[in-house]
Amino acid sequence: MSRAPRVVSIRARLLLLLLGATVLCWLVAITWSYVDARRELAELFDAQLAQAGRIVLERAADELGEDHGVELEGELGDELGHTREHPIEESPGSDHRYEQSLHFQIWSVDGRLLYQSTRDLPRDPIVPLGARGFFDRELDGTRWRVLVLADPDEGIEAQICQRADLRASLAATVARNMLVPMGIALPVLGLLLWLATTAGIRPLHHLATELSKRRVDDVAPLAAEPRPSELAPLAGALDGLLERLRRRLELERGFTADAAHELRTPLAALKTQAQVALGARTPEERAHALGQVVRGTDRLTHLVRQLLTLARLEPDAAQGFEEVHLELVIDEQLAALAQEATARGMRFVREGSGTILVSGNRPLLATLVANLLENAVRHGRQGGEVRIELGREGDRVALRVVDDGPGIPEAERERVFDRFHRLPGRGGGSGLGLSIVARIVEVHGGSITLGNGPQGRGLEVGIRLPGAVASPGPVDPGSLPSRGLDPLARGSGRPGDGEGPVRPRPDAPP
Amino acid sequence: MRVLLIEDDELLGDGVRAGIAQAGFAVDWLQDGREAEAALGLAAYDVVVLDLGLPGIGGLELLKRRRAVGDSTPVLILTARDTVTDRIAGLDHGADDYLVKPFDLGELLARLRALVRRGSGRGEPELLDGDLALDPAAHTVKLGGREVEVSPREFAVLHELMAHSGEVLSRGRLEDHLYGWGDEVASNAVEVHVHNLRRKLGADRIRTVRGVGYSMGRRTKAP
Repeated sequence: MSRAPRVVSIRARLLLLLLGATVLCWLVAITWSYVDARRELAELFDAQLAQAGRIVLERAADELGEDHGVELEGELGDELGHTREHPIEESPGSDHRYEQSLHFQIWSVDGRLLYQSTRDLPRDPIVPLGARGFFDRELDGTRWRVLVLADPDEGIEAQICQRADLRASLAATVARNMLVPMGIALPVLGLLLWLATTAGIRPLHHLATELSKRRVDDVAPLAAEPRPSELAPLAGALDGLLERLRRRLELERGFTADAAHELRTPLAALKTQAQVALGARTPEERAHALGQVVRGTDRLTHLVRQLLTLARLEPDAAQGFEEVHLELVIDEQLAALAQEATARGMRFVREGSGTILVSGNRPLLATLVANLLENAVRHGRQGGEVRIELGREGDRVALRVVDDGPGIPEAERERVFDRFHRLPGRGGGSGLGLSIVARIVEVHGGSITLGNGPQGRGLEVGIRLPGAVASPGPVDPGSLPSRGLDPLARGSGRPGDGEGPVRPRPDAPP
Repeated sequence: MRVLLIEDDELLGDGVRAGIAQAGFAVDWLQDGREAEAALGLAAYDVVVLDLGLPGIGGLELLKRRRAVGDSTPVLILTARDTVTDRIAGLDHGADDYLVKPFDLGELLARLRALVRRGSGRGEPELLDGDLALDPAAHTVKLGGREVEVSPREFAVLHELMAHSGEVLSRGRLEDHLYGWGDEVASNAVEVHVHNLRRKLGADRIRTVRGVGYSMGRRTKAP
C-alpha cells in the first residue's frame, strides 16, 4: 500500500480498506479459476482432438487402401460431418455455440497431399511432415490447434486442426460468470460494511459527543465507564491532559486572585491620598498628598509590569533560545541602574571578564539581571557596594550578585521566592522580583541559591545557568557600555583579578 | 477623639493618617503589629484602624490578644480579602467593623465616628449640652441654633469634653486626644483652646476643676 489518502473519516477509511481487500481477494480467486479453467479446457479439447484425429486416420486408411493417388475430396469430409468450406464464420445459427470446427489434411509419407477437408486450407502441410504431436499454428489470422498423427503401416499422416479461440472464449465465459454475481454483491457488501463500521466506531462517537458537550473550563476527568481497548489509551491520555489543564487553571486562578488582592492596597492608597488632596486645607498638605498619588501610581505601574512579566513567563518561555552574551546583558542593566545607584551613593564592582555565552532568551535574561541588580540597589546598604561576579564553573555559567545590606534571614529564604511575599519593613516592592528571577532561572534549566555575603553580611544571590559553547570571536571591549561609566568600577585592579572563572565557593544554603 | 492606625503600607498609612487628621482627630500611625500591641497597652484610644496583613504579628492575632486581656476599644479592620469567610473571621476575632480596600475616606471616617458613638453608649449622632449642639460628622458647633466658628483643635477639645459629659478630663488626657505622637504640643495649648472656647460659647460652659482638669455637662450648674 502506498501513502494513505487524506483521512476524512475513520469509517470511510475502514470501509474503503475492507471493500478493497474483499475485491482483491475475489479478483485473485477469479483469476485462479480462469487459469485453472483454461488448463482443464485445453486438456479436454486436446483429448477430443486426439480422439477425432484417430477416427480420421483410421477412416482414411480404410478408404485409401494402397491407392495413394486418388483424391478423396468431398466424401470423407461429409462423413465426418463437422467440416465445411467456411467453418465458423458461416455456420448457421442452429449450430451449438460450442460446436467444434475441425479440418484435416491426409498426407502420404513421401509428401503427397492425399486429401484435405476443405479447399480453404493451403496445399502445403500445416505442420512440416514427419513431426508428431500437438502444435499451435496461425492460418489466415486465426489460431489453430494442430495434431499430427501417422499410420506407419499405411504410410499416411493426418494433420487435424481445431480452432483455438473457442477455448479462450469458454474460459472467459467461466470467469465472467463469476464476476457478475460479485458485481451485484459488492454494493450490498458495502452497505453491510458501512453499518458494521458505524456500530464499530460508536464508542468513539460517544467520546466525541462527551467532549464536545463540555464547557471550556470543565476539566473534570472523563466519565469512568468501560471503554474498548483501542479507546482506553486515548481516554487515558485525555484524562492526563485534563488533569494538567486543571492544575494549570487552578494556578492561574490562584495567581489572578492573588494579583487582584495585591492591587487593592495600592488602589486604596491612591484613592485615600486623592481624597486627602481634595480635602486639604493647606497647599503643602495638598502637594504632599498629590506627590503620594504620583508615587502610588508609579508603584502600581511597577506592580503591573512585574505581573505581566510573570504572566508571560508561563507558557512556552523556553522557545526561542539563542546564544546570549551574558556579560553584555549585565553591562546594559548596570548602565540602566547607574543613576539610581549613584543617588544612593552605591558602587558597582564587576568581577570576571571575557565572553560568557548562555543559551537562553535574551529579554528574559535581561529581566533576570535587572531584578537582581534592582534588589541589590534598593535593599543594599546606602553608600555600600554591589559586587557582580560572572564566570564559568565547568560547563555552567555562574553569576553572583552580592550586596552588603541587611540580607535575608535564613528562615525567610524559602519564602522570598513565593509570589507577593515581602520581607517585613522592606518598602513597597511588588513582592514578585525574586519569583520572576526564580521562574526565569527555571525556564533556563538553571539553579539559584541565596546566602550571606562575605563576612556574613548582606545577601549573595548565586545563579547557575547551562552555558553555551564559547564562540572564538572575541568581543570588542569598546562595545561594552559599562566601561568607564561611573559608578561602574571594573574589578579591583589587582593583576589577574577579573580574569578566568570566579573562585569556586561552597553554595550557601538555599 | 484619638485613633490608632495600624497599617504597614507606606502610602496607604500616610493617606489614612492625613485623612483622619483632616477630620480633626488625633491619630497615631504604627506599621508593626508588635509595636501596636505595646501602644495599645500604654495609651487609651477611642478607636483602632487595623490592617490585617501586618509584619510582626498579624492583625487578627493582635486583635485576639487585645480582646483576651479585656481591651474593648472599638476596632475597624481594613482588608484586601473580601470573601464572606474572611469577614466572618475578622468579626469573630473581635472586630467591630470592617472595610474592604479600596474604600472611601469619608466612609471610613463615618464608620469611625459611629464606632466611637456606640462605644460611649450613645445612639444619636449629635452631642448636646443645653442649647449647645456638636455634630461630629458635619464638624459643626451650634449655640442656640446659630453656628459658631471653632478651629479643628478647639472642636476636638469640645468634642472630647461633651463626649465625656460629667467627667473631669485631665489636661494630659485632652492633649492625648488632640495630638498624635509626631505633633508639636505647646505646654499651654489646652489652656489656650479652652480660653478660646469660653470666649465663643460663654465663660461658664467649661468648668475648671483646679489641679485636676476640665469638665462639662451635668454638674457644671452646681456651685
